Amino acid sequence: MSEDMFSQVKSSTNIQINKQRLLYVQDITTLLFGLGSGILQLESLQGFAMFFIGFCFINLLYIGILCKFQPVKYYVNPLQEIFMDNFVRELTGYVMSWTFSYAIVG
Amino acid sequence: MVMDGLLFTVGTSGAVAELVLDPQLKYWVLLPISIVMVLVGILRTYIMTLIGPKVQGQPRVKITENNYISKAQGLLGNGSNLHSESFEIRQMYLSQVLGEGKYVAVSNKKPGEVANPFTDPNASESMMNMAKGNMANFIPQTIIMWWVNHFFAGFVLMKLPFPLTIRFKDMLQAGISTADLDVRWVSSISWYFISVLGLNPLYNLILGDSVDMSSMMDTAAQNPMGGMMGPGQPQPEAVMKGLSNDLIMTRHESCFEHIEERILKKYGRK
Amino acid sequence: MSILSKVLFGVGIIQLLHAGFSSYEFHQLLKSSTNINESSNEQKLYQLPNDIKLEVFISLAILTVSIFLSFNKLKYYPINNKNDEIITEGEYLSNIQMSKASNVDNLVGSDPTGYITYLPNMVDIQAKRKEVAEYLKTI
Repeated sequence: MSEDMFSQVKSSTNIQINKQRLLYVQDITTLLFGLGSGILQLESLQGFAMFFIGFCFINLLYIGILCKFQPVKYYVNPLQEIFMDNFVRELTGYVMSWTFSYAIVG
Repeated sequence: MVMDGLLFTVGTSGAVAELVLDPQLKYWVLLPISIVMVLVGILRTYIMTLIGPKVQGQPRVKITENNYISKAQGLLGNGSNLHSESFEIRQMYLSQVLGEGKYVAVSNKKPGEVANPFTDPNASESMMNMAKGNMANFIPQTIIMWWVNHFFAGFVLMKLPFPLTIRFKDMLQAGISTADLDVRWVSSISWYFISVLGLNPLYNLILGDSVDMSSMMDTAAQNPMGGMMGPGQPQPEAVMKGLSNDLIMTRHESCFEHIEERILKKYGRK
Repeated sequence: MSILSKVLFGVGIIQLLHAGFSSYEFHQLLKSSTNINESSNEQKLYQLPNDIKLEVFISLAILTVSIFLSFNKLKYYPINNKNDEIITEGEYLSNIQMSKASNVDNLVGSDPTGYITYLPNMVDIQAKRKEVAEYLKTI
């Protein structure tokens, strides 16, 4: 137990910094994708499908490019932190920008 | 007037009736509400920063008491970084001192008496901070909601791109007395709700990484309570006794044990 | 890198706005040309033209690329810098392992716990005073 505990000390500042960067990427891309799907006049299921595909695509790109396929190096719990933690926040942001551009364009 | 601009016909068949909305609705209702909400959010952030909790003065005995408690907690948490000798010395000293209650702040009031939070200047100040934080959160929300409800009520503003169940009808179509209208046609108050839920990412982009709204609200909610020992919290004597017991029972585990193995494992040639 | 990403971002935003405007015009035309009293099913026959769809998707792709390009490799500028060199580890994110994180701190010469270790209680003040006195003699 002790060996693992002492060789796995994490730097909390860096965890926080990495989370901020991930949040920036996710925030700006979901807002833009929402605008795009509103312009395309996507409705109900199509729109949500666009969100899921876009969100997963962006996350995979993030893991591939910025994490260089080694998210374990930068996130304590990569799957949860990248895909799940910000999910509701991004979904509501997406719905907002989607509704906005849908109403403006339509 | 915008309200007169709404002309609609109900589709002959099908669940979704097609309405034709005056395009002026977008420019004079949708955009103003959005802009006002974003600007108010930014303003609120700066106001929260300005009226944020300040450093509070405390009597010196109280500070000593708090410091000894946090010292014991620090030893419990980070004691593994010490040699076993120095750990034991600290362990013995702290457990003795805390067990005796040597540094408990003695107050003048009688034991059963609960301090009146309004007479104590520190407590009232921290309560003021808390009230200010809450006010900065709720007053703009209430004002915008009243503004939207008062000026932009009574007409259909937009069509939502996704269907909703009939239960949302009362909330989202407030002020529109058309019983059969599909729930997707909503009034301006629902745009307010959607924005309230979805503006966080936008605030993050506008305000940069210096301020995060959600974390700021957390600190605003927690910090003012920090210096205040309310009647609900455990008394410092009890906390000290508990910590002293914990300290006595702790077994020291140094991070220097097996350090050679760990270093070889980590940096050694594979 | 950064200029490229900004240019791409501008291009993407303009393209997205242009696509939005085209889509807006299209739907206005659709509304004015089709008879209002016809059922809504008829309107569904007219879909958004393919070039507008393509424009939206391409602009989203450009924007995504520009966002990812806006991340530079992390660079550090050491405090004790004689040769004006900039250290980089070739990574975009900060490593969370404490051993690696403190590695960067050591290279840069920053002391994250300095606010504790340089408290008067922690510093050997007499030694420091002696040092200062000797330094003053040499001037």
